[in-house]
Amino acid sequence: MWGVAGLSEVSGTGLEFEALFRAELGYVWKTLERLGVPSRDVEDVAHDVFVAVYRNFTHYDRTRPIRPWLCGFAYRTASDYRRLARNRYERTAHDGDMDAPESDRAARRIEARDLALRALDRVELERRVVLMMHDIDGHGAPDIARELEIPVNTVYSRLRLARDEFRRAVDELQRGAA
Amino acid sequence: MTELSPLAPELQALLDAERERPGPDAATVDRVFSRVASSIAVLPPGGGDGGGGGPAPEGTMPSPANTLPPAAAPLGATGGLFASLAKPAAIAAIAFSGGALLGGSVMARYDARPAAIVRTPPKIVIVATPSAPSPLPDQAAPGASELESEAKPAQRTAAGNSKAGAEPAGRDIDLGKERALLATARTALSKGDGAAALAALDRHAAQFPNGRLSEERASLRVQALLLKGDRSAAQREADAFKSKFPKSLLKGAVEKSIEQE
Repeated sequence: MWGVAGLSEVSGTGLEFEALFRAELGYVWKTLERLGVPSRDVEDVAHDVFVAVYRNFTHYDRTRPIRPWLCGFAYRTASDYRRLARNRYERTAHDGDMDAPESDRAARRIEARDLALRALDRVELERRVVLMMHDIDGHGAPDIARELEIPVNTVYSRLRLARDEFRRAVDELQRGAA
Repeated sequence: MTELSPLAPELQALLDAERERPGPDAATVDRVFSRVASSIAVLPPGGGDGGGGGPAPEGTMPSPANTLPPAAAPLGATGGLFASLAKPAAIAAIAFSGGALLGGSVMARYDARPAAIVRTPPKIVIVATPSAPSPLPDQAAPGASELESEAKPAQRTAAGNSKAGAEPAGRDIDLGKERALLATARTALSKGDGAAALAALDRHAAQFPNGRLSEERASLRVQALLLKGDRSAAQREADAFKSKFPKSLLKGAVEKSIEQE
C-alpha cells in the first residue's frame, strides 16, 4: 500500500502520478547518480525515467512498495544512457557532491559519500544495481530478483561479487589518495 | 547457497553515508515535473507495451520502509511549481519548455514497437497496418506556419471522411498540426504576449474543437487570459477546465495559477 488515503482510488490519474513523482524523484535522482549518470545529465535521464513510469503506470501493483519498481526503470534507462559512447565518463573526486561542508563532521560525511560513489562506479553495472538495492536501499533478494527479472540465486551471486568489487575499489581509491 | 556474510562495517558506513546523499532541491523537482508533464501530455498512461525503458512490472513485496509516507506524498502537492505558474515569466518558461518537449526526445526513446510507428510527412498518406496507431506519432514537428496553413477545416473534414484504413496517418498529421498551433501559443506566452497566445488557441479551437490536445489548450487559455489581465475570463475558463477535465494532470497548475494571480 502507498499509505496515502485516496491515492489508490484515483488509480492511473495525473494526481496520483504527481504524488508519486514528488515523493520519489529524489530517490530516482540518487539512484541514477549511483548508476553512473553524471550530474549534468541526471535531470534529463530522470525525466526519461518518469515518462517511462507514466507509460507503465497502470501495470504497477499498488499492494507492493514502489521503490524496487522504480529502480528497475532507473536501471534500464541508465543502462541505455551509458551505452552511448558519448555518455561514458569517469567520475572525478567530488564530482557528485559539490556542497561546501559546514563542519568537520559534515566534511567527513561528504568525503565518505564521494568515496562510496567513486567506488560504486568501479563495480560492473549489473552487479552494482544489486548492491545498491540490497545494501543501500535495503530490499530483499526476492524483490530484487523480481524487478531485475533474474533468479534469486543470481541476485546472491551478483551481490557477493559486487561487494568484493566494491571493497577492492575502496582500497584502491584510499591507497591512491594516501 | 544463499547465506551472505554481513558487509564489513567500514564499507557499510560508506554506503550509509551514500544513502544520505541529498536529492534535488524543490525548484529542480518543480522544473523536472513541468518537463515530464509536458512530455506525457500526449501519452496515454500505461500504454501496455512495456514502454521500452522499463521493466514489465510484476510488483514487489510489501516493505513499510518503501511506502510513500503521507508527509512525503500529499495528494496533489503542487506548491512550488504551481506557485511559479502565477508569474508570467514562469508561465512562459514552462510553456516554452513544454512545447519543445512535445516533439522531443522521449518519443524517440520510448516508442517500443517500431511496427506501430507511423512516420507521416504531412502530404503523404500511408495505408495503416492492422496494428494500433502509435501513441507517439511523428517526431519531426513541422514548422508552425507550414502546419497552420495546411490545417484548413475543409481538409480536416475530408480527412475525417476518409477510409478507416487511412485514419491513423491522418490522425498523426492532425496531431502534428495541433502541436504546432499550441507551440505558437506557447511561444507567444514566452514572449508575454497573451493576445497572440489567445489567437493561436482560438485557431486551435476552431480547427480542432475536439482535438487530442484540447485539454492542454484549455489550460494554456487560462494562463493566456491571466497574462492578458482578464482575470474574470480566466476564472471562467478555469472553472470550465476543472469541470471538463476533473482528473487532469494540469488541473493543479490551473487552480494554483488562478489562486495566486
